Amino acid sequence: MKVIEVLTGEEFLAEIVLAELADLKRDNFYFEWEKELNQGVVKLQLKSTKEILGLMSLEVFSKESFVKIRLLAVSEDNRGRNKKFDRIAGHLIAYAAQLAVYNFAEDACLVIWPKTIVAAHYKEKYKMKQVGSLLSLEVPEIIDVINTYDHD
Amino acid sequence: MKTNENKFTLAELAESVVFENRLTPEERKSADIELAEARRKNRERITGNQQLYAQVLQLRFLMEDYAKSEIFDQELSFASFLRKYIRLNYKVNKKFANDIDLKEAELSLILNRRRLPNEKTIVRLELHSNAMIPAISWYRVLEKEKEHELLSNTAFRQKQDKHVKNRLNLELQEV
Repeated sequence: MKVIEVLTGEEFLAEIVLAELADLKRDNFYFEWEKELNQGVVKLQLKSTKEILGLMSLEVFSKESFVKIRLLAVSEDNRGRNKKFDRIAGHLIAYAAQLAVYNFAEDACLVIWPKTIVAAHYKEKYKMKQVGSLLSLEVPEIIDVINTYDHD
Repeated sequence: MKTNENKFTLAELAESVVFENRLTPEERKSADIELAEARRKNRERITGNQQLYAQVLQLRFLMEDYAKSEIFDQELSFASFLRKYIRLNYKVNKKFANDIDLKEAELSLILNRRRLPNEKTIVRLELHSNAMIPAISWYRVLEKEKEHELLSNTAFRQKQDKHVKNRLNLELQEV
């Protein structure tokens, strides 16, 4: 996968791997990530320098067949209009979508419970559907998200 | 001090953080019911092709995950993944063999782990899945199997022993 340096448009190879305890102690991410240790936490990092650009914690509900994004945060340098790299959140969301398909195939479902004020963005960008207070992503839209970020 | 909401546009905020909106137990219960109902409706909405797409994609992820892992599992052979692939869309192997121009007997040997597939077969598998499962993913599963065989087949190694002479003398200490 590749992230794009906003200033130059240059692509940089990145990878998503399991985060370690030391990764969760950094202070350039929102939230107290150490509390997420018992959940699956992954990090998106540059392949070359191993700089961590984003963290995400996930929960797999096997019985109900869905995956929930508990927390996701991109690093301080990559937030807002002055961000250094683009596509970080997209890659992390696509990874969560892949995990849902990996586990549940045609029954795959990705769920987030976002604040109401930002829900419209996820509906527009990732084609998530409003289901009461939560947003869900299922087949076929979940596959579109995977394909958008998987094959670049 | 500006709040996050003031510093960023809503889209920028949404692309920076996702966090759970805490629900009361009652709200959670109601959300679970709504989600279950929405998913039931979605199951009715998706087509057979979309189901197949998701199933093939799942198989690809399972194969790639296994190929990357450091664990060897006797049950997760090339043949077992191929068998799963065939069963996604075929009732009989003969029809599948015909569709990738392979003799039924040869397919049977591969599925029963009596013969390893050649590169032609692997490329045809990629083409058959419309590149959904790339040849390299099939190849990596096969490589893992061959790697394990090479490391664990002591009988084969012993059999080759008599064919080797003038071995390198790599003693570090002179006796």
